[in-house]
Amino acid sequence: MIEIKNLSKTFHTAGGDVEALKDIDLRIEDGDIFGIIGLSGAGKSTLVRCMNLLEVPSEGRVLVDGKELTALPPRELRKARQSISMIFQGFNLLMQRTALDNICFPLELAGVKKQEARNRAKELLELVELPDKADAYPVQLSGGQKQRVAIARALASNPRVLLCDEATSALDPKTTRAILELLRKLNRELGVTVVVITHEMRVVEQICNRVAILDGGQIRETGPVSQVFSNPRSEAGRRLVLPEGEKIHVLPENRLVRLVFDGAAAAEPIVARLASKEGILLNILSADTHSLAGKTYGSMVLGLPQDETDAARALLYLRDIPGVTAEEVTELVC
Amino acid sequence: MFAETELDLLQKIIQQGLLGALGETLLMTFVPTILAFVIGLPLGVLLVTGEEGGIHPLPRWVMTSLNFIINILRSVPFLILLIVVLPLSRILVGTTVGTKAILAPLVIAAFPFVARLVETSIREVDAGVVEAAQSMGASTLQIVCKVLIPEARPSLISNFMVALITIFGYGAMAGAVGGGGIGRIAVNYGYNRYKPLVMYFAVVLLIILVQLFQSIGNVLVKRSDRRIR
Repeated sequence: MIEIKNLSKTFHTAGGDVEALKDIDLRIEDGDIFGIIGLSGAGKSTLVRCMNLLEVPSEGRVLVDGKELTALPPRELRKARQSISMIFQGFNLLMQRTALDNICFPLELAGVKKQEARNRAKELLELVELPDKADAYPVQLSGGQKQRVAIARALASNPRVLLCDEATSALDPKTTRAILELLRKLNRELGVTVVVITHEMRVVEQICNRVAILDGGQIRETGPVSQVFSNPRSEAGRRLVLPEGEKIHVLPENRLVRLVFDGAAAAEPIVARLASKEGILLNILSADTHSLAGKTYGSMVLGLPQDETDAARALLYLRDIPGVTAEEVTELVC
Repeated sequence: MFAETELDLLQKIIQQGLLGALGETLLMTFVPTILAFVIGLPLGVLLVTGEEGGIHPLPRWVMTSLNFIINILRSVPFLILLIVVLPLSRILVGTTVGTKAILAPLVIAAFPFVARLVETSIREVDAGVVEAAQSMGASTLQIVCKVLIPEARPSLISNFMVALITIFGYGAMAGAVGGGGIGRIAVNYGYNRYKPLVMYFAVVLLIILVQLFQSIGNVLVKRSDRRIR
């Protein structure tokens, strides 16, 4: 379990102080695949580097499995880092070592005997599906293969946590899917907690169970992916999840309602039923569907009738449908 | 074109003293280069790791003094440094003339230069790889020995050859103040006694040696660099 309490990070630069992170509180449970999503400059990389103290927080505490990293002396911090592995956008393999020797590297650091380390490295190459690349140098590998080697290297020390800093951002979509699939497999089979830093929604959609939205150095929203992505509550969340959502100001007499419905309800002809059963005509202003973790979510913005009683009845009806959340909104963002 | 006596002299030099001079030249090149690396390599690494924001920052005054000393030593022309340092040679090896006497000044002239070369090589190592090592819990010493130096190896070998050839040049220059080797043949016979044939012969020999060093260096760099497919 990773607990971040009241964490802030300020960089002192020549151009003045930059507050990269402000009052972050975050809790990542064991076995989670936790996404941290935000646009560039949001502070994602700084936040993930605070989890293994590559960046030292200006304020606040970081606890991993109950051990307070921020209070550890250097030697013990280095020891603790062996159970918090990290992979990177740029792979960061040792260019002068073979794939196998790269995987042996953390074992060497930990003082594991050479033959034992090599055997373990070979097992890990099997696990990441690259058994025939043991003697290849990084330059001879493709991006996806390099990241697989980096993942194997990260797993060598049997970590409890795997931090992924934009680990798929340098890869093409197909390779990205394969690497994410591998991360999910490792999470399932080894029980390693995975923290995924990304700017891409589809990465979070594909593997994460929980997500936090980071914007301007602050966590704006956190929760299960299905909830946050289908029905973002924060301004930053809406901007991220509904990127094309331009704000269209509608005439003030039109009350708007935003519906979010999950896979089961998505099949229901809600608007048609309202018309035929209740005789209430609604105006569909926008509609969209998203696919999250294999489930379909729909969202829709409806214009309520101008008649107050009709509008109230329509709202009541909509709120009664199972699997549907209806909320009044003032802006048309879908 | 050349007087008969000059050819005779050249022949005499080749028969009697050339092999010894060649040996002296190689000694005066390799020994100080290696010693300069023994001192310069740790210093060069320190220049990178010890700076502000480096993997093991040292107090600012330490870094400032280190840089200052290196710059001072590098600004003194070699011939002057040679003369200033010769008394030290008397203490160390008991003489101020000949090949042995020239070793100490060569090392002192070369190690600051080597430190700067090593510094540039180490700086070329990708910061991301260092960060990865830190994330795995590597100590400073482990990062230096297992990441920085091995990753910079091709560049270090290449810079070793640069240093070797520079020191080789210094060694030849030392012939003017009593150093040994092929440089002395060029200076003593060619320049002082005005025997151009001998001088040309010595210079051509020096050129061939430099070409040889560089070619060997290039092969070693290429062989050691795993970034080349």
